[in-house]
Amino acid sequence: MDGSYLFQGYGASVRVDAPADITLADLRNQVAPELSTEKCADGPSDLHLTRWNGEYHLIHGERRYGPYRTLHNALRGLSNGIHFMIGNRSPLTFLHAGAVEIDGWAVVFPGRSRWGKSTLVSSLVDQGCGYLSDEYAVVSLEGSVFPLSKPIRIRIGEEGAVDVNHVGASAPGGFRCAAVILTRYEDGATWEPQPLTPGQAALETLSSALQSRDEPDQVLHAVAALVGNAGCYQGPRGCGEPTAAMIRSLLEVENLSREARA
Amino acid sequence: MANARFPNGGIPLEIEVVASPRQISCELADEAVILNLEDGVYYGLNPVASRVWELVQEPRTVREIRDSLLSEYDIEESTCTQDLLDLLGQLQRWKLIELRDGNGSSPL
Repeated sequence: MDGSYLFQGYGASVRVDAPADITLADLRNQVAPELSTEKCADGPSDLHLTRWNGEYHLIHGERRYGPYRTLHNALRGLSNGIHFMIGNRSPLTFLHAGAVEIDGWAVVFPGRSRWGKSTLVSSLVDQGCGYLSDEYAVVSLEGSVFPLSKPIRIRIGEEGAVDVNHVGASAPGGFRCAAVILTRYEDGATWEPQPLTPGQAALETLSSALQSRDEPDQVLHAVAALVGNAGCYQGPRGCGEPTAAMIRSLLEVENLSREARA
Repeated sequence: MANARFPNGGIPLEIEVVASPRQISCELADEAVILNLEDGVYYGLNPVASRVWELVQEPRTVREIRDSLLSEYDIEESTCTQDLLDLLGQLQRWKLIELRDGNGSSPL
């Protein structure tokens, strides 16, 4: 018999049905700790993870995802679906972005899948930055950044991957954004970020927002607030770049120019 | 590109211009970002274009907008007029503004 679970956070909730061999602990391990996870009474579900012929399938309305041949991959697929639905239902803006905390400020890396966000974020966290997000940065209308610190999945080659757990940084009112950096990994590139105007950065970042189509007003104002007081940069990066030290240098330059403007 | 309604290549200076109601916009420092709600496309405006955008939040004739810019920027009148007409033509093609005739009531 399936179990029913409720995931809640950031003003949104998602109900899930999952096979009996999946435990509450299995689910909690795959979902950002900022979302509460609990068993609930049976009822209409948003996502249904089911198993037959030894494979798992994820069903959302009339859409079917999978098959997943391992429980771990099925849980990852379910986790992606939960975070995506929470993001679409939340009154906060969810950006496809990595994000870390440095010296009490958020640094956000908007970007599409396979831009290397997870690798970059994981590397920065290993160097002492606080972990906020490797997939969705949560942004308030005031431009503050909140964590969604689910386990980071690092791709290894074309097929392999490994999950890395980091404790998410948190602050009651979120973190103000110091920098928005649009960067993707390119083999052999050197990180020489070029400044973007706030308008350019907003245009680039808007395409990363989950709710652009359904909540355009909310997204536009959240992104404008995010980039409005941040230093904005763009440029490819090579292996291992940028480091935490490089970003700190960038933020120091940004602070100096901000003080000069003031 | 010539405007279909004004084939001689320019929007008349007495035509009223106003921002379309089917958009939302946001100021960012001295720039602006606009979302056309009809097609979901975002547009960015540089500082001078953003000033024009600010002016067309209320219905104004092209001449009034041109005169405001002349008083604010060090620019030749002929250059200002041509650049403004180019910008308004672009904004009209993006469906971000509406043009109205002299009585201010008839969208063109």
